[in-house]
Amino acid sequence: METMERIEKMERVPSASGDRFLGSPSASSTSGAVSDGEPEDLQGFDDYTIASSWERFIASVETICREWQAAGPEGLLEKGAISVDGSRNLHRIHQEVSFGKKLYVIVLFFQLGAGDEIEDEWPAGLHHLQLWFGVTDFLVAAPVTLSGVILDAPEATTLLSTVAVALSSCGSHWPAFVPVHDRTRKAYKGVQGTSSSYSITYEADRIGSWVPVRFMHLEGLYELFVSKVAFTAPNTAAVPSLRVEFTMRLTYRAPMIGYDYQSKGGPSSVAEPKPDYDGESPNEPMWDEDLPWASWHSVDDPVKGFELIATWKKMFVNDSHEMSEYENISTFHADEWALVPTFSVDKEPDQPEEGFGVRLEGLANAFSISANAQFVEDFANVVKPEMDLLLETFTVPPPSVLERVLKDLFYAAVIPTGEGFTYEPRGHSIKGAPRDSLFGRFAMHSLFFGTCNIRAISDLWLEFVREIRFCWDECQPLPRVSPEDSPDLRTCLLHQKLQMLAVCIKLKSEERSEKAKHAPLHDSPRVGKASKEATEASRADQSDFQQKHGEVRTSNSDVRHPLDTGTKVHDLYLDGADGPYTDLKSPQDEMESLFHPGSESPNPASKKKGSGPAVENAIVENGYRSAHEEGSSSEDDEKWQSWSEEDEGEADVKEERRGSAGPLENMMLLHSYEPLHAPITQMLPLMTEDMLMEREQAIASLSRSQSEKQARLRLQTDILASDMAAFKAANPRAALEDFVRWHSPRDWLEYDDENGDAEISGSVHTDDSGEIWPPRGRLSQRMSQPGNLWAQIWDQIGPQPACEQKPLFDFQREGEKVMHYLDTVRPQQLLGQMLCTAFVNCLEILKRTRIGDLPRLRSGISGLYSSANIVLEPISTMTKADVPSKEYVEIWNKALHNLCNLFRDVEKDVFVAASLYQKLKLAPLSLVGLFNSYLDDGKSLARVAVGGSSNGGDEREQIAELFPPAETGVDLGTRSRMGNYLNGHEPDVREVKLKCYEEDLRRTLGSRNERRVGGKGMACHRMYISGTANDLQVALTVVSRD
Amino acid sequence: MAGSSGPEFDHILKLLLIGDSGVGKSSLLLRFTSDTFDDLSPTIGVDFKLKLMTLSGRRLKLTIWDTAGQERFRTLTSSYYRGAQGVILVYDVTRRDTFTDLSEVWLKEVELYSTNPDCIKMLVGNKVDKDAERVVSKQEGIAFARQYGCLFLECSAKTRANVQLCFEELVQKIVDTPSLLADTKGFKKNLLRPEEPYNPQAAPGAGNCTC
Ligand SMILES: Nc1nc2c(ncn2[C@@H]2O[C@H](COP(=O)(O)OP(=O)(O)O)[C@@H](O)[C@H]2O)c(=O)[nH]1
Ligand SMILES: [Mg+2]
Repeated sequence: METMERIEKMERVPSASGDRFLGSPSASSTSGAVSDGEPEDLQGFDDYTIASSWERFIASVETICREWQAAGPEGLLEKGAISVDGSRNLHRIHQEVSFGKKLYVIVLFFQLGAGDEIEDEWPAGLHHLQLWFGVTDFLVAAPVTLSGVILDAPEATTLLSTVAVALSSCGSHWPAFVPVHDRTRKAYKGVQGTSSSYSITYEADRIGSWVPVRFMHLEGLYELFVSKVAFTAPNTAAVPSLRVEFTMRLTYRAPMIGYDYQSKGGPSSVAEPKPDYDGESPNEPMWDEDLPWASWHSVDDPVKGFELIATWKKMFVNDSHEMSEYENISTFHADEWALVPTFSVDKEPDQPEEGFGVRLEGLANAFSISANAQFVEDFANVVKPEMDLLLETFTVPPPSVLERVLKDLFYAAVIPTGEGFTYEPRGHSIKGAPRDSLFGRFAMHSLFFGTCNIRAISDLWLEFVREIRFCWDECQPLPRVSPEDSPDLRTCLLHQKLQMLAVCIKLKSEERSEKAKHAPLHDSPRVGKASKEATEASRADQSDFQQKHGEVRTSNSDVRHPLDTGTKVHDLYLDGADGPYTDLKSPQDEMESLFHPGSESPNPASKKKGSGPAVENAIVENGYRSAHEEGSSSEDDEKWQSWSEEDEGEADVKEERRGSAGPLENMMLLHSYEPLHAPITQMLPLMTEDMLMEREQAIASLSRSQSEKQARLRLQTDILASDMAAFKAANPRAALEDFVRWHSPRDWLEYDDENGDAEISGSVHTDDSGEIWPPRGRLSQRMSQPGNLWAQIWDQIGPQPACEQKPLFDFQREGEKVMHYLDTVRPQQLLGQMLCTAFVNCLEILKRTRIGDLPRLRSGISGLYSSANIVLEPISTMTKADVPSKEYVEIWNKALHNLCNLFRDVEKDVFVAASLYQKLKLAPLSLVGLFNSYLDDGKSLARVAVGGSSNGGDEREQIAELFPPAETGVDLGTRSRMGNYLNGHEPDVREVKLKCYEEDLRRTLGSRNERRVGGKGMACHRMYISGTANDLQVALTVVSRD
Repeated sequence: MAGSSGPEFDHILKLLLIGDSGVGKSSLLLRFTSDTFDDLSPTIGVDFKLKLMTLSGRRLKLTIWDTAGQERFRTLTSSYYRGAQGVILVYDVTRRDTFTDLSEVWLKEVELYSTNPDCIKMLVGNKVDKDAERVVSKQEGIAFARQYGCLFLECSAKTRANVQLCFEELVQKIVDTPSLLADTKGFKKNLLRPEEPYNPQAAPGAGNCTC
């Protein structure tokens, strides 16, 4: 029983100093003493049964240890070892053993992979026993009870002895520990055999309340250590000077982020309780109120605070005075700084998840269900019994919620221009709607509408369509959609439809107000200036529009100059709206009334490349035919006919100028030397993508026979024919050459030389500037070819101002078509577009979030974009004709599910990054380091070194800002404070490790203690102390030889 | 759907011809599709031609859209950029303004209206047969192509020089660009492609597509 004796000796080491080494009143009882309990008579060899029960206990522990030893770390994993949370690769495996009636558990903790952190004095992620005693792999034996702690010293001794005996007989050097006393004391005893003649004893204990002042100071800790290793009383004056190696780690906790120092600072507020990490005061601003998602929801701040850990590596002190100096050392000069974030605790599984990700998943589910019905009403009204069951589980939010959503969508005053109303599918080709547009916002609202289920969404949609129908019927401008834009083919079809509708509503209301205006003024052909001005105000935004798009082509040679100012176009517009000219003013007079003299500036530099609908004044003229039946393609034939017929009917009014947008400077008709007037032309037809596809298909399919080719030509020539008719009306004496000079200037070739052909007839003028008239020139080769299409149309078309023409774009019909689309859209098509719109907009929100320069997250986000593109692009471009098969839908659902999960992962990281960025803006290096560590090491081990060699720049100053200067309200006296201040803050934890080598000890103590002889300088005694004013944890490691 | 015409081709590609009026777009197209040269009426709005071709074993159906260069038609033609995998920007080597308009007008239109981010642009200088009147040099064309990332060729619709090659090169480039070829097969198959998992551990920049 050598081992037993050894343990007894070890046991005596601490008690040699009189009591529990901290001088606690509850001194441990004499070691080895046997009082009661099961393993009573340890030395009672004559009692065969008891002896054998203990021996059996040893044997079974031994078996376990041998098994573990033999298995090796990898084998242990196979045996079911699990990793220890928050550690770096520490794993544990346990087995229970019974000893008599008692049940014990033996746990082996082992580090997987080599201990590569030996270099690091204060590695992160250590088990507390590793930290305290400097061990790597170790055993813990404990009784299986609720507390897991042995209250009774003899029992502890027995257990420890047992394990030690077992380990020694299998030649293992694993240190073994048993917990003693009650749990809060965190007390342990331990022992370890070594290959040489040493053995090591371990002991740890804690004072959890009032800590003697001397132990609050480094000086006192030094003295404690020396007294332990040199067997002196810690408080005797004669503490021998002993060379001690010493390292220190200080932990400062930053006050909670978001805590308003300004308003809460000051001496008077000392008594105020500091807000605890989880408490949310309603007065405090949300951390994310400036972040892009704030208008939709607020998420918990994932980073609740920071710990700053400052460490000093190896230092040597020779006496307690030297030691005390280290309390004044500047924290800024610590060897290492590590910033460790405090993350908020993970949500309970029953709590609703935060973020867009989970909501998008809901929308994705609604999308998969949507394939089951033909109409949205089916989900709202529940008609099919099998669907009934499914839908019953879905709840619909109360009407008040619906009302709030509709209010935001339709009645919030927003001007639909700017960033939120333009859609730029950059880096993906998913079609969606701009985030603030009517449909874009609808899709976002649907995410937060109740639980985002198909039933709630259907209800919302039906109300949404009802509101839109109201706008259309009542001529109310469609909110959140600009009536100035033509449908953007890069957006989803629904948004295009609404863009189309917005334009139609605008045209409709313009027509209405024209009608209203004309009713009382019926017999007055022209509107007086005053009434013009009266309507001006009400049209402020329209004139705005025309400023952008109302392009009137003025041309002197081959360049057309759009009018620069809105006013001019506006005047023009009103004049044009008065219908056919009845008073025969001279063209010069017309010009005066149309253009402010001198304001015309045909400056080529100001040439605008307008891309919106061109001159579209004509469309609002009163001569509009309301009862026509135009077909998008099939009836073009008819249109063609009607023009030709009218040609003949109106031959007699040829001389009358109608539908002019004004004369063009320096452009004269070739034959009559009259000013060339630009005609008011029709607004070009707007097309949404589905219409365009139809048209493309029509054009593409009409290419086989000659008659088909003719039909196709007619499909293409409607605009040209309309322009020609308008041109003829505005310039009754014009020739095709004049039209070509205006419409396709490059097909008019002028000669400089005298040898040009003089085919062009007409009287020759010489105007004031001495210019030769008519200019010598001719149509281009291709334009003058026999059978030229332009000439054909020119010959067939009679003059007809745009206002009298059959409209190229029929807003009434197109508006109704949009409403029909909204009423009958297939649920799957609707949900598909909602999903894509919402997904892209949520992604944009992540992308817009300020996270600083974090390349890995950036590439994570762009990876999410490409994944989204793969899954969503086909959904977003699904047409009415695409009815995907069941299998296909299944693949979709799976892909969508994965995509949403991916989104959630990225989103969580964005939350963390945004929070870190907010707090560490000024320390970009630390920010990147910390975020990368969060990705690599996980929440529990995330940390970053600040300053020092491992970091390029020194950001300690910036990090220290997290600790605003502490209040100095109550002076407790320097003695009762710990020292080591950072901006006036005491460390929240101060840990020191003290080491003393056997050589040094011998030099100091001489041969006073023969038992304490060490080996070759390797053996050392050590003590770990972690302390504050009310918490002191001490762990002592002592080496000894038998 | 266009795909209903059966498996007589592997991919449908949409190409678009743009540039000022009179540079020879319609002539180029006519030369390519029927190998003739004629004085055509100026294009009105948008015109269309079809061409079947086989390129490295792939049977391709090219739908080529020819546009009018006149400003009046521009809003109309702008819709036809939709879904084009290739855009041919044509200028006349004998007229500088047609060359400068490419960067000032036409490239901007492509930017604005193209719905296909990876769409291939090809710069074509036409009418090289009129060598005596040439005002835009080949070097200028090359420099332009380099600056804006286009393919480049000079050709003549009249003499047929390089016309075939021009379309072939463009189509070859499209066929070699997976993202462009992905949605040319009729119904979208790309969904079946395996997804790239989110991997923040990956080195920065990895996982971004090459283009
Ligand atoms: N010399 C020459 N003339 C050409 C060439 N290509 C086209 N043209 C002529 O240029 C004019 C305009 O051609 P067109 O194809 O209508 O141009 P587009 O407006 O761009 O379609 C026509 O008169 C053609 O005959 C060419 O390669 N060489
Ligand atoms: Mg043409």
